[in-house]
Amino acid sequence: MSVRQLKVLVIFFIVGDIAWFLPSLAASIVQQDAWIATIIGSAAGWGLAAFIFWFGMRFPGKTLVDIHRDVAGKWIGGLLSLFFIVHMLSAASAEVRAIGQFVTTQIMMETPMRVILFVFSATVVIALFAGLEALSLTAQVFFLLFVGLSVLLLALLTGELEFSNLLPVLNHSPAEFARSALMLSVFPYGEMTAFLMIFPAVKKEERMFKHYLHAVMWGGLMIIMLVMLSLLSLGAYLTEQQLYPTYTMAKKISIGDFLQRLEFILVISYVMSTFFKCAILIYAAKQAIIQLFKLRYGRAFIMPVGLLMFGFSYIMAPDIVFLNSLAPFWSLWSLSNLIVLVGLIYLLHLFKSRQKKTGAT
Amino acid sequence: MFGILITLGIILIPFLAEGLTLFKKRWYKEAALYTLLLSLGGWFSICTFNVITLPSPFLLLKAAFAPAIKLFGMGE
Amino acid sequence: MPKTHKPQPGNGTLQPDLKNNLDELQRGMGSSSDLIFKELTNNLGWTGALLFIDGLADSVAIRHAIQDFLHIQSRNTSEIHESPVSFLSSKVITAGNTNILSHTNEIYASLLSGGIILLLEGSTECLSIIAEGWKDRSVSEPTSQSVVRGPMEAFTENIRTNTTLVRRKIKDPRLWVQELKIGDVTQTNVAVMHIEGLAEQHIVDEVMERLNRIDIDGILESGYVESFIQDKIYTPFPLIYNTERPDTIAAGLLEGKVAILVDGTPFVLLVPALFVQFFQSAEDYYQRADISTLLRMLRYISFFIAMLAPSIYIAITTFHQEMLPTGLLINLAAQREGVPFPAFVEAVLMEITFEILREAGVRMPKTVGQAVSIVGTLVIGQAAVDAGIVSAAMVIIVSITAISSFVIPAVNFSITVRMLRFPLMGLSASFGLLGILLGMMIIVLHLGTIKSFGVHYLHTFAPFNWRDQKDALFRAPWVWMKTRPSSTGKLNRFRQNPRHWPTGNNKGGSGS
Repeated sequence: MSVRQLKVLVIFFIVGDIAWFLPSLAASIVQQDAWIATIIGSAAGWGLAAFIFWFGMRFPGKTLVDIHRDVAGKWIGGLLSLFFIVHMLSAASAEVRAIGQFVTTQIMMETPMRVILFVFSATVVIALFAGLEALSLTAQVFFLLFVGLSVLLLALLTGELEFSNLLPVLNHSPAEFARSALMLSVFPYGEMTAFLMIFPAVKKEERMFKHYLHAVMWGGLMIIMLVMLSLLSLGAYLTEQQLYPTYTMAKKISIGDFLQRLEFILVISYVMSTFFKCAILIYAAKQAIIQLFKLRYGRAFIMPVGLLMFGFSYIMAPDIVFLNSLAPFWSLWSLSNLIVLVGLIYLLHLFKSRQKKTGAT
Repeated sequence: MFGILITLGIILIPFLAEGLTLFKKRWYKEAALYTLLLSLGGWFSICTFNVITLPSPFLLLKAAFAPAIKLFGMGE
Repeated sequence: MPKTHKPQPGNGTLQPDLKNNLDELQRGMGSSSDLIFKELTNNLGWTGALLFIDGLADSVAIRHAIQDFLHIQSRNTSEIHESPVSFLSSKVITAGNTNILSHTNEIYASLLSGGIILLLEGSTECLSIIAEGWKDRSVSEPTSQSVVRGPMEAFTENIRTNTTLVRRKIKDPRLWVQELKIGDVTQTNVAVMHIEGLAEQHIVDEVMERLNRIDIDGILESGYVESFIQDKIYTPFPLIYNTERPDTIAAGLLEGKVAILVDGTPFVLLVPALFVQFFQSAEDYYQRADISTLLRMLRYISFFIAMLAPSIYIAITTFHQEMLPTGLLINLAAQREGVPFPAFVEAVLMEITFEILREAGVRMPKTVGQAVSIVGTLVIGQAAVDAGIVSAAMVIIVSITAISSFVIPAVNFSITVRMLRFPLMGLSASFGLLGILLGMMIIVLHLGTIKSFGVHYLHTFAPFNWRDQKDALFRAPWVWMKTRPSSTGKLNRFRQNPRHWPTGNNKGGSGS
């Protein structure tokens, strides 16, 4: 896998499924200042992503499961990896659920959700069978479409933007900003630990960090753009109250009074990004399972993992209310995963290597 | 009823295709894990197809992080 | 590996007795009436026999051989006694291409390729003179890949003519030809051509290895070879490119590809094949760059139309009616009012009808074919609309789809597109535009796993290669095409002098 493909995957991953819920989540806490919160959150998120990359580069050629095993020993490392696997699996199921929820409530209201979940899961399973290489090639092919559609969205919405929607500025307390920034940084970037399973497969190039950071920043910019657009075109109230503000704002586009209601076309790019995020997460989960239990024939496990993802995506929440109420809990969970699985491990690694040094001398 | 049939089909087909080879090759660790994952996924899928709503496993998550949420004042 | 077909007869060698040899050879061919032998005795008293297959051997060469044998000027006798056959070969026979053979199967091989065998009494060797004299189709225009501007030559069924046509385009000693015979019963000549120093050695070796692995009784067309040597992946996409045109083959060889010529068919294979190749046509390089670029983009658009048009129609009319402008929506609804079938059934019905018409048109005798195709499409389509079986919009969609699929230059690729249409229609009927998106993703994922002789099928689109775009999505002017495509041309990057630029005459006045 080349660095360019990694960049494309990173951008798709970061944009992921945030188009579905992030603007409304941000607006529910800080209303019209959501864009400021997003900028703060994105900046923090870039730090998180950079830290993950840097962590991955300290252990060249090793995936997260290997690192856990090396640093924390077989049993504790295994437990940590198990938590990682659960996190990845539930995140992947959440992606599938997000698509299922969206399609059944907005587009195909008569289709039962389990059908959509099944079809989407089936496609992700096919992606798993195709392999990481094919997935990154596919991402490259679809990236142009993704960028094109996003630019189109931006261009077509310029007629509907009202900057007065951003006033009054900064009338929220720092605590509220902190709350929203926490969620805004963790949701796109918190699951990037998945990339720790992918970094070993990337061909080494010089200045990889620069390219990676490029991609991360572009992803963040897209998030900021989305939140801004929805605030500017819909206003804070609608952004907060609508179930899918991105979809609603795409509904407002009309070209010359005859091309209207093209919202699904524009929303295709977010279906794509959700797909790629889901595929990367489930790939990380599958790799982690194979490496943790040292399985010999990994390909056989794609089907059970896929089935698990499918089933869990239905079970995880009985309805959308419950799903949305999970938001703060999920952000804390992702954060704690990041802290424990990566941060603590790094401290442990430092501690151990210092011990070795003092022991050697 | 139909849902159970579909789910059984979805479970049995990969099992017969790939799971049995694991058993034949006497890779017991792999076979055990395979069966475990497949049955868990199958159980979830049966619930999905038969529209059985279980209490969500995420209630555990909520319970686990409830004190932290209270502390940071993030609940709403 | 057990052979399921019997090997060719003839495992022995020649005996010194002429009569024996003749009987043996005749018996092997069951005294076929076209196996002719003529016994001769020349002025030195040698008895010999001339053996050939009527129709395969050239009659002028036969006459020359007989003449040369019958009148030998006396020479140094010691030379003669050592090996009379080599004496004949080097000092007597005036033909250009001769071999000395002694094994019966070699003799048969030579006879069956248009050889004249000269047997001598008392010798265990014989002389074979290669003199092909059968009737061939002459070099004519290509049937399937014609261009408006460019050479009008096409390959024929004779492998020697074909290698000649390629050699006429590439007059470089580094153009190497390796021949082998494949097929136990047909013994078809297969030639592999590549330019040494441009084509990567591992690809050439891979090709030779895969060809040698073919174990079948007969190769009748390059399609057989194609299916044997292509990468073992289940895919509807063609992994090997074939063409009738020598200039396309020459261009491919210049890019570092390997050509495989099969005797008996004018379709030559080119390996490795990439996705972008199937959108390139020879004419692109002979016309101006801007026209070619537009045409190439048109081909890509046609590819998408041919694959997606019915699916998009089904998806929009079934699930996403809000996307149509109101006027159009009312018209479509009015048209579909009397139609009893859902859009999907309509589409499948019309598509299948169209495929039937298309296949029928291929096999019709030329006089009837034109009428039937016009009758078929217009009248049957119109009649179906009037009868209320399909809606008029559906007929339009199906016609546009069919015509678009003809725009793709490579026929084997358009077959793929036709096949892929149906699953996409099914997906779109069930899941609307989401289904189409997922279907396209699955197709691209599948394409991502395909490698043709070690090169990614999607090369130049992904991994995205800026420099190679000059020949993929659009066609840059020749001055800018400085490097070869990096998929196969890594050994010799530069095609032309990198600093070449057309010099204009900026000063006014008379020419330079």
